[in-house]
Amino acid sequence: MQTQIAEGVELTTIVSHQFKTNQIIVNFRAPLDRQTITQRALIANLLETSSADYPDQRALAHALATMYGASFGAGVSRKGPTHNLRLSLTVANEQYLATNQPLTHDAIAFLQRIIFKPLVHAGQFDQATFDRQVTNLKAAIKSVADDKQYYAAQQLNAALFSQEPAQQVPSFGTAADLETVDAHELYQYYQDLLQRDQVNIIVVGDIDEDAVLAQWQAAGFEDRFAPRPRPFYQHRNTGHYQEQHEVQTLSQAKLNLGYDLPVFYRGEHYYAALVFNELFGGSPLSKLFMNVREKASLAYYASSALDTFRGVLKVQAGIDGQKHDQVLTIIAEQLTAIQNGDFTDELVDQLKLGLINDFESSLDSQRTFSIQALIDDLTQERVQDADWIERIQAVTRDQIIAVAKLVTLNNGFFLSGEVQHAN
Amino acid sequence: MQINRYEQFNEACYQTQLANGLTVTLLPKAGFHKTYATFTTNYGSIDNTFVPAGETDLKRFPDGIAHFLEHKMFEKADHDAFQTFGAYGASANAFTSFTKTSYLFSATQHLRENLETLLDFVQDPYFTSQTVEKEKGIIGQEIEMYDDDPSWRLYFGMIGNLYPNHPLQYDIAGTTDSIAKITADDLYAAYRTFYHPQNMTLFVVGNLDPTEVLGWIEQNQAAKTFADFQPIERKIPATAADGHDIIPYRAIEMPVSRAKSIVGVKGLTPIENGQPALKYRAAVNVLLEMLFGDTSKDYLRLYDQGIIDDTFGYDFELQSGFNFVTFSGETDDPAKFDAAVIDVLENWQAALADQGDLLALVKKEMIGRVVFMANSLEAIANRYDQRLFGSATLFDESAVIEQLTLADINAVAAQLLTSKAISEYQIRPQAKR
Repeated sequence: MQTQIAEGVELTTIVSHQFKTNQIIVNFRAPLDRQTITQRALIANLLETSSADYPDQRALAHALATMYGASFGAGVSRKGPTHNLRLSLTVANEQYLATNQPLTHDAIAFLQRIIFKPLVHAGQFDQATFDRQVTNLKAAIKSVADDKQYYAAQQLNAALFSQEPAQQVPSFGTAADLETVDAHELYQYYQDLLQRDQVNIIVVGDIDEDAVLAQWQAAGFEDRFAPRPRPFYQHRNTGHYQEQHEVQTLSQAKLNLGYDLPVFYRGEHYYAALVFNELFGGSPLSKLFMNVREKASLAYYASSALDTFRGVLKVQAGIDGQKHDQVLTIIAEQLTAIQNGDFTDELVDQLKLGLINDFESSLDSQRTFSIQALIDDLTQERVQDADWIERIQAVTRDQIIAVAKLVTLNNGFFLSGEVQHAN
Repeated sequence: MQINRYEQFNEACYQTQLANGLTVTLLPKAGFHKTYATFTTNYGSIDNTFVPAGETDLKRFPDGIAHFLEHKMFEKADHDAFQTFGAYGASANAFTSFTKTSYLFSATQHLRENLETLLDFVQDPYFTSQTVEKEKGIIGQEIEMYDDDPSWRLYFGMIGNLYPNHPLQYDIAGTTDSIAKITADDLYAAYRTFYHPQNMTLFVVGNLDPTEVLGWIEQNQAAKTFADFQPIERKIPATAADGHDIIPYRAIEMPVSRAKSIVGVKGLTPIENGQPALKYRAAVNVLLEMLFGDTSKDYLRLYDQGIIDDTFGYDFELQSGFNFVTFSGETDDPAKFDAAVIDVLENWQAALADQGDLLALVKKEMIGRVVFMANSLEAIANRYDQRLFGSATLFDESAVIEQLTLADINAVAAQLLTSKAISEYQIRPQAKR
């Protein structure tokens, strides 16, 4: 059931008896803007750890524990040209506990206090809490570089979107931005966000829809003129390959490749692109897995992934640094093989079965419902489960070949250990 | 089939032991699309010295052999088991821990075919010297990847401190040198010793009808013959009961941007398998939450002092034959981090005094977590451990937590938190050259 609580504020309730918990998501969506990315990430951290009613983490943790260990989190993400700040709270359904505590009601009330009563003094976020969260976010951003696989993926992303700074930086911002932000300015921005962002509230579980609706209607969200942002950002195809090489102290090298692939979520070629990706590097039956990892023993991992909100395809591989050229060649050969139709119908059927298995399996996770509801709202389109399966089954080999021919290698990022010189 | 009904959760669990010794547990989940199955042998990375089936003397095998065997199990003469699962739309995987090796799949379709594939590929070993040699490259890459991972190095650094004379200290995958020595004959010897149905369990949870599924499994197993089960003799070195073999402190340098520290506490008292183990694990988890959870006094104090941050975490590992606790986090000052954690550990008595309200709160939280896990087929299956907990499942845990008293928590604290069982390990950023 979908209801508009105020102009620009939508509530979606989904009744499901499958789960023993109820989940509440509040998503603030804005057009992606380089200037506000870090601010939004910092706000997520502040809301996650403090509020006027729960001034420190212990008070906040106490409130969650009282609700039988409700799980609360705040985070940020990028989807195409949009930025999302999301609060999420999952709480046990009281029918499975020896209690009469109205846990879902309490959980919604808790979230509303978090949103509308932040820990603020004299028109700014509490200074001590603010300082602590700035320090922590800075440390977290710095530490990300220690995860080499993530670091390489991040560098490739920066290279792929060199034309667009907002697409280059991570969704959680940069350490440099944190040097200039202050507690007053950030609170001003939060007020702005509360009044202007498009808001989607999603409640999933064995719930009383009317009670949930009444509780959110009383929350105090104001009307806003929040035109729905464009759902897609179109990557610009450079038409040629450019590789960056970085040397660090490490034993396993990383090779990340970025391709232009102008196929968008549920648009033309979309379902064929899903099957293509499974065939190229998205599954254990894929060309990359079978040939780079298994047959040639060149890599520990080699896989591909689509980003259909930005029109790119990415490959990541963990390899022996000496074998860079060989791996690059063998990956290119796999793409050419698909373009030439070098794959069996039997394999395509198996890949489709795998995709359908993944899709049906995802219906066993409560999160899937809220994530899908947000995407449906962004794209203003809903696809029934049965239709999704039918569209996958209808994909032909010619359509897969057609998608493969749309793929153009643009960027590479190679992270390797020190080069060994033979004496 | 024995049926355990969990009224509070509206769930039921079906269990039986087949004629060949295999323990089968089935747990239907209404409304779910997927079925998740794990086929597990009580054989892990620490079992590197044992009497091979059909022999009489202990033999030392290369480190990493259980994990190597897990990798090689998928490959057959004319196909790969991954492909067979793929043909039925399932996703398959496997993992090796210190004491177990598990093979698993999840699928929304063709349950019977996938179950038979799981049983058949694990019960049909095929190793040749050629395929064994090829695997060494792939596993070598895996080992190198873990070598670069500071969190992994930190964790194994601590295990090396706590268990310096014990195979726990070795990486589950072994080393490039140790796996180089593995032969096809070694794999067959390990296989014949540990992969007898008597030493294995099958757990299936999700969209299933227990009677129908048991029928399939029985039919599949009845068609196979197995050698008589020879009780397994493994040699796991004893570790000092007074903890004198523990290395109290080590530090290494790595290319990290920020230091990482870990404090470990080794459980010096052996824990009896079965219900006592289930209770012990619950009590230690409650104890740790009371001392270091985000509802504790000390957590907030250390957080506000900047000694710990959101990277702080703790973990209690209880397996058959050993148990230990670790506390880890990133820090600008590892010495200060360690000292603060150890200070809380050594003053547990004051922290627990008159904390009946905190205990009630933490118990509430833990019982809530059981309800959360009841949503996850993977959590339900992976928490099952027949060797350690007998027939208990996730749904038995909330009653155990419910019954814990402050006296129980004090008792496990007194048993576990002794200064002589504590150790420190640090990873410091490499000095700039």
